[in-house]
Amino acid sequence: MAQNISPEIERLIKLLSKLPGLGPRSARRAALELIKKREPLMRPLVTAMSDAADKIEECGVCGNIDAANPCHICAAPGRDQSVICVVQDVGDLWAMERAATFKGVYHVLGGTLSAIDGIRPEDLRIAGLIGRVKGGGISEVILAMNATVDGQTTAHYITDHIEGPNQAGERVTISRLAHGVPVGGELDYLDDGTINAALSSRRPF
Amino acid sequence: MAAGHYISHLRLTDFRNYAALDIDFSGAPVVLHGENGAGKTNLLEAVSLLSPGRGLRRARLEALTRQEGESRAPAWGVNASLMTQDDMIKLAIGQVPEAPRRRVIRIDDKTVSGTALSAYVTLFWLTPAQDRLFTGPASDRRKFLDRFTLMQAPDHGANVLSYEKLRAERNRLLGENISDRGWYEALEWDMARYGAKIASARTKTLYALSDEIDRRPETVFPKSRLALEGEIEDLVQSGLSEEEVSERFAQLLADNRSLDIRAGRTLRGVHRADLLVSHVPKSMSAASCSTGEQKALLIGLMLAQAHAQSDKHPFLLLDEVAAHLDSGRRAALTEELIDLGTQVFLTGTDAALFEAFDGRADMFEVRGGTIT
Repeated sequence: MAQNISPEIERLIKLLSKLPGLGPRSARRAALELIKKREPLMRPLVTAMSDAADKIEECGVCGNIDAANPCHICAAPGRDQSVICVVQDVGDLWAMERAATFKGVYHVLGGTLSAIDGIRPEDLRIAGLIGRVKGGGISEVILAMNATVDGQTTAHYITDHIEGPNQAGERVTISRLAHGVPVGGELDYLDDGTINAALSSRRPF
Repeated sequence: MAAGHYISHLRLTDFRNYAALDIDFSGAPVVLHGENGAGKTNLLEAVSLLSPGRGLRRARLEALTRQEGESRAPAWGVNASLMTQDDMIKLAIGQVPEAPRRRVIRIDDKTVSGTALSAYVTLFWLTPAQDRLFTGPASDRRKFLDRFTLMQAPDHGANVLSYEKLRAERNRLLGENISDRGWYEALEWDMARYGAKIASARTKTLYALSDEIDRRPETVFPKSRLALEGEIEDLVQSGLSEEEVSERFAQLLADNRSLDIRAGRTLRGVHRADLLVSHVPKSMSAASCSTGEQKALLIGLMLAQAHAQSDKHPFLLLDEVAAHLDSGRRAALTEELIDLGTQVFLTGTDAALFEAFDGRADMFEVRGGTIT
């Protein structure tokens, strides 16, 4: 690629370009910015990255990432341990937490079943979820997967495996997030599929 | 393990007759043996999709999804881990259920265009369909040469596409008997420009390949003499510059317009070129040679091209090649492939065909969509 760039910088650019949202061009800009702001930005970033690499781990219960294991959500005394919200990724967990409505606990799958990405049930944290649900003490599982084909396929797959009474003979409710008109959305802009979904899951006013 | 650039892992999901397959490779030649219809060629096809284009069967995207009885899987995927000198790169190709007609390609989880694959994977194949290459239509040989050309001149594919598009335009005018001179001239000028690039790239490839053939020692795979037959290619070979070729070609198209109108199509141009191959030791045209001899010639050509392109670490996909060769040639091919040092995938019905590898290959038995 570059003729007169030192291998140290080249390597930095190559690694940065592997980050989501960054291509070779933006990686070059990011590398340049880091080098220009060596003391105020680059060194603190190095420390932050090294700390994160050392301390952050996956929660053994839900798959969230945290410096503590179990994570601070699983360990929080005020949260309802009997309601599990199943999400695709940690980013989705964060989105749920930003909304600050849900007071239960989570289960992070780590993706969805996907042919192109070669992701199969055994690559996801599905066995752990089944164990949690069948183990008892769970009253509801909320499936909060994305409303994509892969997300919904995964939701069906999970439902098939956790339906029915648990080991203690108790029934577990399985629900999913509503699909339909977004808050502040206008009908005119919605596609047919969304309108159909909204209509079929309408509720008494 | 000689190759420093090889596929170390392949995962197929709902692809052809494979529901879910994981297979690890060491970088040594890969031998896939099993009965007819077991899925050996399907595996080669999966690997062939990792280079730009539609793969070795030129199949439509929808045809690649696994079918069980009446029901079809929603999408297929081929995932490969590519080991390079200093890195491991994840290649993914397949469908997403939302857009089943679009081929999606991802390199390290980033969606890219198909041509981006050419930076990582160069490969070519030899399949039973090519057994009639020397006796079949010229278009097959042109495509064969164009595939080789693509490896040295990455924009060759785009040039051929542009030329063909313009030719179709011009043919439409000819067919509808339109006589707007300015319109023809505009099309012909562009056709000539792309045509000159195409002819020049083909000629360069032919020269490089011929040089490589001359350099190589005599083996049981007979040497071929190659010639490019085509009037635009002749202009290039007579030493004219690309610009001069382009001008002459444009003039030729203009001069032929009335003839072309009568025929309803473009009669002359780079779309008429042919690759002529002859068997050097027998001084015989390839088309007159026996089937086995033709196969040996083709293998010789492939090996020469692989050596000429060795800096790109080309993968070779050899489908049912061993069956055509006597045991002496099979042994010689084995040594040639090991010596080449790039990753090679071979198929055959019987493991015994590959005994010359003697522990130097990754051997797999393919049976009904599974591999052992």
